[in-house]
Amino acid sequence: MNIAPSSGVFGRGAVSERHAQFLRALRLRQIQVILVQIAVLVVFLVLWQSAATLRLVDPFITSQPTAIAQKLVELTNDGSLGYHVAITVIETLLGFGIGTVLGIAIAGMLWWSDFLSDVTDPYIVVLNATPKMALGPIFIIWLGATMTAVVALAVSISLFVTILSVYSAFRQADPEKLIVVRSFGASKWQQFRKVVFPSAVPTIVATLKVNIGLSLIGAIVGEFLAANAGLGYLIIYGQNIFNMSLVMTSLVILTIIAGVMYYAVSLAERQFVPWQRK
Amino acid sequence: MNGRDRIRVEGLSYTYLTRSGETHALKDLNLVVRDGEFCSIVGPSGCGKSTLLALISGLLQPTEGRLMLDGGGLSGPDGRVGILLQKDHLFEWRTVLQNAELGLEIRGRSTAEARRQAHNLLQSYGLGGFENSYPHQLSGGMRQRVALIRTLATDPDILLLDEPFSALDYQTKLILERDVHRIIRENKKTALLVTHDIEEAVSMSDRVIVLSGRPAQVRNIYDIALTVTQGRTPMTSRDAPEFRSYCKSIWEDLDIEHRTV
Repeated sequence: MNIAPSSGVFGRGAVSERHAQFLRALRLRQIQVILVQIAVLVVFLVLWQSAATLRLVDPFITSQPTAIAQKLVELTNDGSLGYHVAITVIETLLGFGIGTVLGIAIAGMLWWSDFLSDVTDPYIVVLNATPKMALGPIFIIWLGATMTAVVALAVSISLFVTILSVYSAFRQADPEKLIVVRSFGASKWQQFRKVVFPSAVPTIVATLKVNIGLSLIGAIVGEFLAANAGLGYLIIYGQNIFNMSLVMTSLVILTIIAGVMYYAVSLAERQFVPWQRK
Repeated sequence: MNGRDRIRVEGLSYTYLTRSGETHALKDLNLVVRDGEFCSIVGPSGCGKSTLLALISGLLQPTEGRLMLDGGGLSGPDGRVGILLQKDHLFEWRTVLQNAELGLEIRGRSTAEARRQAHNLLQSYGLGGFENSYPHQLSGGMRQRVALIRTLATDPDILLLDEPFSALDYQTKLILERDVHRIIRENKKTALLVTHDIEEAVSMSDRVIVLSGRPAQVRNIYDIALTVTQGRTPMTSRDAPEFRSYCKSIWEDLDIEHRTV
């Protein structure tokens, strides 16, 4: 409705000369922000590299950008980079997927039965407050030093947050909307499908964003504790052989993965809540 | 009006139970709404009007007394009664057409035929071209119109209107009162309107039932006979010579001047 014709005489979607100026100023500011962001990164890398080269810091302790780049090429060439990244990503996605789906399912059951919800309330609250990292050793003893144990840890971290936030979103569904569907004769399942679940979608999507980060934490900590593959393992291995370049390289890759996954969930958000797109 | 009883309420009582005690929302209430009639209920706030509508729509079961639709009992929402609430409660995640189809979908009649029916209703009531818009793109009056179509699409015999115009600005309200009145007449529905607005009740209705405070009792019933030149609409009703005196009598029944808030 508010989309101006793009073929206007003022170009680039502008409707008047004044509007064109306004749009130019917006674009200019956007470019400035990006340029400064890049500059900050470059300055940081240059300072780090210079400090290491000039021996102001000990590169054995701090590593240095060139060494990291070298390590990156080395790991890529021998194929181990792809392998370790794949392991961590798979563990994270499994943890994320299982934690989210299971969390939503349990939240749905709690919405369905007030009695169940009252009974389980203290248990869920306590389990949510427990630091899940402390469960790591238990999972390893039960499941062995395997990928399953790592995934279990990742699930346990995102599960309870999901249950609590999604359940509260289910409960906040507008009671009058429920009256509307009940007056049409809706069954409890229909009330859930037509009103309660769709009302909670914005909350669920926000939970997804949190969960993807939590699952990555779970996967990395799991790999710290017991694994022979993955970026968490690589970091611990680098620490054990005192190879800071390996630690730093793994860290850089980890940051990139976290960024990419968060961005992917944000894209999904726009797909799932089209009615909020302005 | 052929005089057949659509809604018959006999000795109806409803009591809400809570930890702190009992609240008698309705006690021994009697009233009748005939087929094709447009009937309004006016009463002080909190006199149990909404409870009455919930009972008639089958969402609540009477504590005591009888409630009959078309001479038979009612065990739950069964499609004979449609409701229109104060707020439109359109689902913001559905398009206008999907909102209009909601009732049909729940009743398991989401066929191509049903879809066409909802589409036709939107067309004939001024919402053609908005089928694929989302509710937030519509004005308040248009939204309430979609809500009415959502209810009409399931073809109920009786429409319960729970202050559906009270959230609208004055001009939109007058226009929508006119349109809803026409739509209900055209479709030969029986309507029961609950409202605080005395003028709205008199201008739209064949009959106005005045209730007393909680627990609600029928205080007075007015058969509204207005002298209008051309066809009666809520607009022309307001110009009828008798209009003011009806409003004044109801005003006095409600004893607003001597009540405190």
